[in-house]
Amino acid sequence: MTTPPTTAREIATAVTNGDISAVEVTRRALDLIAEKDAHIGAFTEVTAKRALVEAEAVDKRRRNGEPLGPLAGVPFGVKNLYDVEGIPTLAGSKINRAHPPATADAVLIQRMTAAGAVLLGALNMGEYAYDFTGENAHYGPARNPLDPTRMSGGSAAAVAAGFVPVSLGSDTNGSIRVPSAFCGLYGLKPTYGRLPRTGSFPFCESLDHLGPFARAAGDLALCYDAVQGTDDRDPVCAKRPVALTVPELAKGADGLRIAVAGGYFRKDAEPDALAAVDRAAEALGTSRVIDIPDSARARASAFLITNAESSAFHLDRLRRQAEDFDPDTRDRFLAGALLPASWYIAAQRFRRQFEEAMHKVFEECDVLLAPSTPMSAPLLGQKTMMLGGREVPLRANIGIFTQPISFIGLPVAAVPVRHAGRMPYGVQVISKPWREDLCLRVASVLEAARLAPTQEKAVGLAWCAAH
Amino acid sequence: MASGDPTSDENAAYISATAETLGLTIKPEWMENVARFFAVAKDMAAFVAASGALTDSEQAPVFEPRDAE
Repeated sequence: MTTPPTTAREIATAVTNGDISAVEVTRRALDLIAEKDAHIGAFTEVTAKRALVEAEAVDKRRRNGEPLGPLAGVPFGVKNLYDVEGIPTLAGSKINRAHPPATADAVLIQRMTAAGAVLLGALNMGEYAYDFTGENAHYGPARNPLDPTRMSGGSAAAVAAGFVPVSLGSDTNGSIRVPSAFCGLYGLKPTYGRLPRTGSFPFCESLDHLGPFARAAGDLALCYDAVQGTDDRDPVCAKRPVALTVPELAKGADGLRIAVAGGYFRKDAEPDALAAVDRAAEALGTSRVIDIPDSARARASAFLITNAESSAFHLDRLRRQAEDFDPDTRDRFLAGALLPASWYIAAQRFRRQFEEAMHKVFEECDVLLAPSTPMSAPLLGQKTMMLGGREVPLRANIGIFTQPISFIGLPVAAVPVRHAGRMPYGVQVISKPWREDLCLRVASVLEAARLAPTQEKAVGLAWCAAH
Repeated sequence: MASGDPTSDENAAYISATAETLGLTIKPEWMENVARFFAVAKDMAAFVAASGALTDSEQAPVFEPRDAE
């Protein structure tokens, strides 16, 4: 084979056709991780032995003429808040190291494995997911493969570095969409309640979502389709039939009413972040702008719900082991533990108000475009940022454009846009509840418009250098 | 939203009393950060309350009893 397969789809096709074995794909990925991850910090645990066993099982099925899954031989990693049988579920913490090893894989891992994918390990993350920076006092930062002096997140770094073509992460306030933007990747945050969170360590149950990262829009759809399905053990998981998206991608954006989110989403961002949205809008042939009312209040409500719920969840750990927390998360959790119940309940009531307002917006359009972040990837160690001409704390403000959207659980595909010679930005492709298919169709159209060609080249080089 | 004064006596008294009630220890060197984050939340709560959400809307969480085994 002259050109090595790089996307999940290409790898699965090559393995299914017998052009390359799953074991060979797995060994190459493990070698690349062994060679380069010390400089990136994407993985906290590499499950090499397990990966080779799983890959050999895929090859054996092929030799026996048995059908292979749509992700046959595709390597992947998972944020270390997913249960992986045999290792403790760290969720980025030092405290959880003392937990017993998980006795079973998280449901989404089980579904990836059933589709033929091969788990390579667990990925770095901020402590207990209260983080957009990828920094971690216990395990070191996950560095951005496009510029290792800048922020990422383990689940994005592993994909952007070319270690794996896809990974699974979580998104409560933006943790799939933000690192996708910083690393020039595609990410999918499905509708709240679409994918079961069974076997994952919670952050904030009212807002927690799981979903995939990928270097190609089609790979997002492939992974998403593989992990869909309800599960009674997650009471939030909706009892809805599987709605496959891969067959929908060819429809493109035909017939869709697409608009740019105005008002709140056009303020307080770097000009290049807004220019990224404008380039996406131009590629889709729209100049329509729709104001999203009360977005700042939605973001404030998401902040309160996150702060109160997560801190209540960790209350006993805060009482007994506060010194074992990462200082960057500890003080936020301690503050959150003190919030009056009425603040939290008002935020939950406003969630219903905002949902009703957004239903009216979606009477006027099918898809909204908005920036993923107000800036490109910050420097590691950076504590403040400029927002609308003011210097503000970085951690609390990276997610200003993602929080109002996940607050009411809308599905979003994050799409990379890269201006020549600069770090990438992200565009949120947002749709109405349960219409992930529309997000992914538009993401595919934007991918075809090649709005992030430099990133494709960088990833291609990373892969080729290793082979 | 205006940023509240994290070091106000009112905030400090509330933080100390509530932390004690909950059995939380906030070391003196952590207090400045905790007070700053609390002040941010207080501002956000006032902003949300101004929408009338506390009295005018149904809460978002819905509890759906499941079938007994």
